[in-house]
Amino acid sequence: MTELNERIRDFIDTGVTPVSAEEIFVARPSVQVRTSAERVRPRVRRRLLVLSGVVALVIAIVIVGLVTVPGAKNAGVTPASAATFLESVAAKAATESPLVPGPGQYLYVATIESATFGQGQHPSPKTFWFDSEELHQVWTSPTAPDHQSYEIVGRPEFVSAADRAIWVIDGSPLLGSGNSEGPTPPYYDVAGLPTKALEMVAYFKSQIYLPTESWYGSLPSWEFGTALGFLQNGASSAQRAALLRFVATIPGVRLMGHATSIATGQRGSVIALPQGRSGLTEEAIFEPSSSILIEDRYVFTTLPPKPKVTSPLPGPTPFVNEIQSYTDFVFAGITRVNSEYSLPKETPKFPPVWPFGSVREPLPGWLGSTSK
Amino acid sequence: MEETLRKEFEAFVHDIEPSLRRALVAAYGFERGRDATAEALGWAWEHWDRAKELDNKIAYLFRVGQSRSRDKKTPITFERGESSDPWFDPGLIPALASLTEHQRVAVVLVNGFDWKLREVAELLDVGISTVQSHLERGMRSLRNALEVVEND
Repeated sequence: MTELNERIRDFIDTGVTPVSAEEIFVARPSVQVRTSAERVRPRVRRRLLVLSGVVALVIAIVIVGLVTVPGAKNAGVTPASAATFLESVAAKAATESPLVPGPGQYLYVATIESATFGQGQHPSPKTFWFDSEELHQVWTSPTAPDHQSYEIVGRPEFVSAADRAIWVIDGSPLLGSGNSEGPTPPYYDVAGLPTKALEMVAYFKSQIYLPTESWYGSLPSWEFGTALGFLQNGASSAQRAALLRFVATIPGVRLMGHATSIATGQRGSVIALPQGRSGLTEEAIFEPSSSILIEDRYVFTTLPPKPKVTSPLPGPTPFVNEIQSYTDFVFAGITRVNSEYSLPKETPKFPPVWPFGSVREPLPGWLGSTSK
Repeated sequence: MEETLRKEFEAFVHDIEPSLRRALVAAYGFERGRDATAEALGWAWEHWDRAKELDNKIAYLFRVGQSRSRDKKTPITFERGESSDPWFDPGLIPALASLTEHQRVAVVLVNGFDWKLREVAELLDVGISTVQSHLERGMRSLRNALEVVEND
C-alpha cells in the first residue's frame, strides 16, 4: 500500500466512531415492535385534487389538466425574459442591511419545509406514507456553536387513501414526530458578500464550508442553489440585487410565470432551472416588489429514469409536475441565544405543532395518487 | 428468543459495519455518513428476517443509508471533532470534498481499503469500467490537490 493510500485509510477510519449493535438496540428497542417513524426523503404532492368514483380515464385527463395549470409553465418563456424580470426586481430592492451576527450572536432563520414519512408496522407488511410540513429553526454563526431543530406543524396528510387503509390495518398507530435535531446547515457569510454580480462566483468559491459544485452535480445548479442560499440567509437589499443579476446570467434559468407558495400562501414570480437527469427542476418564487425569496422548491418536470436496482424502501410513484419538496421562507433575524426559548422579538407566530402522542387522524389523503 | 436475535445481529454488525460505514462516510462525509450507517443498521434490525437473507448485504444497506440520509443541501463535511487524533492529514479534507461522490467512494474503497472494482461497481450500481474511470480521475485530482507524486 502506498503512503497516499495509507493516509486515506487512516483519515476515513479515525474520523468517526463505529456504530455498535448496542447503539442500534437502544435506538430501536425491539424487532417485534416497529414504532419508529423514519424520515425517508422530502417529498410532497400538490393538494389540489380530491376525486372519488371517477373512472381512471377521466382522472388522468383531469390530472393532466390540473398539473399544467400552475404558473402557465413553458408558455413561451425565455432566458431573456428571466434576465429582464430579475433586473427589474433587483432595481426595486429596498434599502436593508445584511444580517451579520456579532460576537456570540446567531443568524436565526425559520423556514417551513415539506417532508414525507413512511412508517411500517405489524400486522400489515406494507408501509404507509404521509406528507407533513416541518418548522425548521436554524441558528448559525461564524464564531458560536450551531443548532437546528425541526418539528411537524399543521396537520399531516396521507399520501393516498391506500396509505390510510394500511394505517388502519396497523391499528391506527400514533404518528412518530416531535422535536428533532440534525446536522446544522452551513453558515452563509453575508458580511463579505459582494454587491456586484460579476464577483459572486469568486466569493462562492471562497466559502469552503458551503456545498461545492461536485455536491450539486453541475456548475449551473451549484451557482443557482448557492445564490438562493444567500438570498434566504440575511443578504442585504443591495446584495440581493447583485445575486438576482448574477442568477440572470446562469445558463438555463427561465422565467416561469406566477405561483403561490404552499406553506405561507404568498404569491410571486417563478424563476426555474432544470437539474439534469433527475427529472427535477428547482424553482424559486420571488416577491417582485421586495426581491425576497418566498419559496424554493423541486418539481418533477419529467419523470426520473427508473433505478436499475429496486429500492429497499419504495416510496410513492412520482408524476410530472409533482412538487417533490419545498422550503418556504418565514423569518430571519439576529439573536444571542441558540434556542427557541429566546427568539428575536420580531419573530412571527408559527403554525401549531402537530400534537405528537395524540390520536388525531391525519387528513385522508389524495385519492388520485398511488403508493406501492 | 430475542436474546438469540440480538446475538445474531451483533455478529452481523461486527461483519458488516466497518465496510458499510467506510462506504457511506466516503460518500457523505463523517457526520452524515455515520448517521446513514446507523439508519441502515437500524433498518436491518427492524427488518431482521429480511436483512439476514440479503444476497449483497452491504450494497443493499448502502442504498438504505442513502435513502434515509438528510436532504441534498446538507453539505459533505470531513471536519473532525476536537477530541479526534490531532495528527490527521488536514490537506485531505478539501481534497476529498472536491471529488464527486462516485470518485470519492471509488478512491476510498479501492485504494484505501482494497475493495475490488467489481465490489464497488455493485455498491454504486454502475459498470466496472465506470468505477475504473472514477478511480483514475479521482486519484489524479487527489494527487494534484495534495501535490503527491507517486506511481500507484
